[in-house]
Amino acid sequence: MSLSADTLYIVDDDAQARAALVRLLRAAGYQTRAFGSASEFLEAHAHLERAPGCLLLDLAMPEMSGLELQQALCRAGCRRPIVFLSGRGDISKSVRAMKGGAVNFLTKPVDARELFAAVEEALAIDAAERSAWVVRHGVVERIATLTPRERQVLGQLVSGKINKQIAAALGTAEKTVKVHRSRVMRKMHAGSIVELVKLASLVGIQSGISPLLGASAPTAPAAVQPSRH
Amino acid sequence: MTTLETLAHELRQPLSAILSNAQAAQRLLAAGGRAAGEVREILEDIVACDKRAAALLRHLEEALRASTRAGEQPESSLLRQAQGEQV
Repeated sequence: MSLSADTLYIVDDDAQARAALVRLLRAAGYQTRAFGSASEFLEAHAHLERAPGCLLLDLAMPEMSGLELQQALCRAGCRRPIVFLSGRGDISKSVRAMKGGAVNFLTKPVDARELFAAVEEALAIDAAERSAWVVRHGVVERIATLTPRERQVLGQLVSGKINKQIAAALGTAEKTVKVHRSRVMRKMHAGSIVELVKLASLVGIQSGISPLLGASAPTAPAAVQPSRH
Repeated sequence: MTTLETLAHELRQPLSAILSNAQAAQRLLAAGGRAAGEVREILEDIVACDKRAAALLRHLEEALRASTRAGEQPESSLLRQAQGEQV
């Protein structure tokens, strides 16, 4: 079973169902944290956003339902994968849950094997998103080391311009562009233009236009903001 | 939701808890070691869940009788739900 530090966050208002889920998942070697309501979870989760793991959510809870909790997390920019647990009559709701980024939708009573498969899938998605975020974050940090001029050159390079065109566009000498260009490549840790374009596209710079390339010092803009923040 | 739907839905909670508890106990026993304490707790919960399910079923039967007395014919889908879907 899972040997990582992943935590399964269980939110179910039914104490017996919750305790049983915790037992089953612990017996299978998972780390769990259980909550009796959505608000209880949200309160604790404010300090746990960076911890890897996924959510197991009961759909029908009083006060705040599983779907409402999903929406609240979505609004907060948290994209932790969710496995919903519910009765069978909620098909339209299940579609909404899927659209909101839910990984799976299981019907109670749920068989252990089915539950573990859904949990593993959710944890894999969470891990992939986290490592993608680390890579994107690295690119943002590299861009932050560029001077405003170098950022302009980066934008031009990414849009496929050659030195002569860049010099014309920026009203400078081709020789100067070459110097900027080599600095950009070095600071971005890019071995080739293809690599540079790839790195830039990771943070949403495709056509050379991005708030990341603006004249002001770049604070991470919303588009590349850590997905789980 | 109608009473019948609510009761049918509610039945899923103890049934779910019974299944997860039983499967947890199976794992604990398969792993060997000293699981007796936890398995005892699990069995207690299974018994409690079963009683809860039985109580819900009694409510369900009452609701069904009441609706029949009132001359309503419960929709077949509701009846199926009330009778407990086999999952």
